[in-house]
Amino acid sequence: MQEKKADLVVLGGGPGGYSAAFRAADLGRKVTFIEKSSVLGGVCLNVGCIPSKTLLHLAEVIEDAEKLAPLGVTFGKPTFDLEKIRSHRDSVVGTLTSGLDLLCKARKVERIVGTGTFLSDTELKVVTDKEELRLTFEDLIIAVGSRSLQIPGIPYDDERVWDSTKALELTHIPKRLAIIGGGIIGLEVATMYHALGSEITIIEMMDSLIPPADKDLKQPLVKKLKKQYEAIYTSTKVEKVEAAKEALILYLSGEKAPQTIEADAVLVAVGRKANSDGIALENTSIKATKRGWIEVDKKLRTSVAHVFAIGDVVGDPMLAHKSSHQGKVAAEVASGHSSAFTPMGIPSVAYTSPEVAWIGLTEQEAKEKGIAFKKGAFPWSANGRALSAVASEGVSKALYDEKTGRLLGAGICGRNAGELISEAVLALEMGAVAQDISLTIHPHPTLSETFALAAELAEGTATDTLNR
Amino acid sequence: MALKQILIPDIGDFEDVPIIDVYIKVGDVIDSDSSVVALESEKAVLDVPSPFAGTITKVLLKEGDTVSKGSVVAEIEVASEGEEMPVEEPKKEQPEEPKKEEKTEPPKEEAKPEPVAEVEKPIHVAKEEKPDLINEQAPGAVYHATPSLRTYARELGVDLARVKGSGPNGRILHEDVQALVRKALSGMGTASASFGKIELEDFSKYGKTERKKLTRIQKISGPHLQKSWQIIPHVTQYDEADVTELEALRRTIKEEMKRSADPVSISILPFIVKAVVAALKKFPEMNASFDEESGELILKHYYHIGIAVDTPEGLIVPVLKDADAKSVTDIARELASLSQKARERKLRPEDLSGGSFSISSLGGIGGTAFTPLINPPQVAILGVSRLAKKPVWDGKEFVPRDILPFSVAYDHRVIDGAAGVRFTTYLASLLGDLRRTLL
Repeated sequence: MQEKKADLVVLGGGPGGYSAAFRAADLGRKVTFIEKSSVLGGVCLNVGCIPSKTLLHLAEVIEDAEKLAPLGVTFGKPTFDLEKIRSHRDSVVGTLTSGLDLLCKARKVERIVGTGTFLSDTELKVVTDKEELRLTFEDLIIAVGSRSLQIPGIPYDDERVWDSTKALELTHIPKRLAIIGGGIIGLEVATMYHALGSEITIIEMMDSLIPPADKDLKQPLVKKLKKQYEAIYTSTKVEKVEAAKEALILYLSGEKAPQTIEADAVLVAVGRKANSDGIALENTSIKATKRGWIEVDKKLRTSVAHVFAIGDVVGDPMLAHKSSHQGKVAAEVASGHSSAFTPMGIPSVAYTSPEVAWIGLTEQEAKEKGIAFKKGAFPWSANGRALSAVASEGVSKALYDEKTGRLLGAGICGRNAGELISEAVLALEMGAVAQDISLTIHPHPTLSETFALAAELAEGTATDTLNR
Repeated sequence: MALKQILIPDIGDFEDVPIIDVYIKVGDVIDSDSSVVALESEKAVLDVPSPFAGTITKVLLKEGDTVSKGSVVAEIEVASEGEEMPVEEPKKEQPEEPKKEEKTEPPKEEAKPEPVAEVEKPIHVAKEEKPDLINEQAPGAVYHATPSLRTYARELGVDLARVKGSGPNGRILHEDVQALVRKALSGMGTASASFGKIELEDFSKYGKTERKKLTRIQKISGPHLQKSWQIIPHVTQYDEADVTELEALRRTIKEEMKRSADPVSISILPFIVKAVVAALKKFPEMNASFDEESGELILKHYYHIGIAVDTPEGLIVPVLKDADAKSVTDIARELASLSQKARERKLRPEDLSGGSFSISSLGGIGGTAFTPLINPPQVAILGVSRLAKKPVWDGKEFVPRDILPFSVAYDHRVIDGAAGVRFTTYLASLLGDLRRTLL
């Protein structure tokens, strides 16, 4: 095995990995960047966030067009050229990933297409299709991400059984799509395929869809999905899936669920598993939890001080924007800076229709923790812009600390909630009190006004609605 | 022969301690237990023994480097009787290019230097001192720091929990952090900063000179004393006590001790300690520390008395713990053992920490009065000078009495002149009649 010395190694080329590699290079480190795929960007760019948003955009326009019919504008029924849709998706992904290649070159980051496994706390075995290397490193950042979690009783070999990656391949449009898991990923795929004409059934083990979000926040979405979809079975478990010739048969157990349902395709979206099992951690003193989440401190150091871990592999929330921020912090700490990962919140967004987004403390959590708060919730049915855009199903809510008045958390459900939530994230990080927000003039008429109106409601100064 | 590493052992509650002396060089043949380096820990000097005998092949640290548990001192070729074990190249220290912060082991309670066996893995040597400051912002808190401010404070090493926000709604501003740093800076190191150094000249033109290095204790105690002198406004109250009766008692006990099964030499010091404890109980503000930040006096409900001990290396102040609970003979025994340890350089950090009041007794040497320097964070110190027979007018005639001159220096920020003299007067009355300590 060839021996080589490296300064700073980044293992994994997703959003966390490339942020870490680029930041470290900008700080003067000599970076060796190892990714098994020849394309950078990881799950997010290649088989996650970006392709799904490309397809969700189609779903949104299709639905908007349909909404115009009662208003007197009718379009023909849409037809789908899957070939073209796929190539559009690929070109969006391609633009972004080739951009990363250029950034890599410009920063003189050394790329290795191959896998890395630990030999010790200071050495990595790197296998490419040409050679095997024993790489001794000064610092290393683990950014190996996660993969779809599999549950037992499901014939994964059957090509009608999908994970999110398979769903985004868009090979065909199944007539009946059953989705195991009513979280963000499950609902986004449901939104996509519903717009393309599939009949959707969702099976969720917990008692509601998107379990972490507050009930009143997701209510506009849930209400709509119940009308649109074939069925939504909450508090229901999938015991097993049988691959019959004609259809997949799902065996359910739940109070309100039938014993079996049939589907032409099944998406398993029950969560994600950290990829900490593929890098031979057993050869190191790096510690991981039972779930395989690598343990790190606020500076993202593992139990080995010169090895860092970031992103999905350190656990929930498994979100690209968490990873990229952590990547930068790890690169900075490794380079002697005093950085730390201390966000007050990490925003979550479900790109459904309507979208659901939230940040900070949820009402549920505040109650569980016994934190006294004032709440303002503004329904979009009273917002001019929402009504004009046929997007009145929505709510903007915010929780303020009862004593200090500071924003504790916020949630927005409605069109573009994922964009609108950023104002709440900024307000949270800046320590805004309700008055800071209500006295900030928001343009009218906009959807963004609703966040300011929620602040007015919390203060009792609203005029657009009654202060109740 | 096997190559081993000599590591810094567990040195107790201290991290990133400076090395003040390196005793070894490449090629030295040493025994196991011979000292390899000296560390400065707070007030003590610790000699680090080598766990192995052999020949030094590499010295990895130099004077002035800072070390923590596990830092590699040197490599040694050991005449082995055990198994051969190759040693991996340790990470080189690069003080000129501080690149990383290192996670150091949480310190253990035990502060005893112990030889540590060879390492199995390369150890990252502790580098520049940077506390693991995180500065998280809790949601809904009274004070708030924005993300950029949290970063700014981390860079300056400011714990935001200590900063009061002056911005709207209690927001912490950059200025608030700067003000705290300025305050902290003005409270320390003003000496070298504002007064500068004392200029030297070429003395050879006046005659012959030679240079003599300060002892290790002087190197350590110097800055400590300078800080005390510069920060604390000292006032010294002088007084004397008539200890004729006390001396008579001491001589009687001394005679008795000679016949005892477990004899110990009794000086006047253990009696002074008992009198001081009784006086401290009456004047608790003398047994205290001053929290400048909060403007509060921290009164100690324990009586750990530091006793200055003269050693060949210089003055050192071991601490007699819980003096209130110990008898005069116990104290005499413990003082004897502490002084011996001090002279043999065997004091451990815990022998030197925790003092709530100090006594500097120079009476054995001489002097009529002196100003002792307060040992911060204490607020007062007793200085004892030479006992002398003096004629005292008893109303009819001059009679010879045993007179003990003493002085108490105190921190005038927290103890005013009247309180100071009340303390010395009371102490003099206790020394005059020790039965009063029972009151």
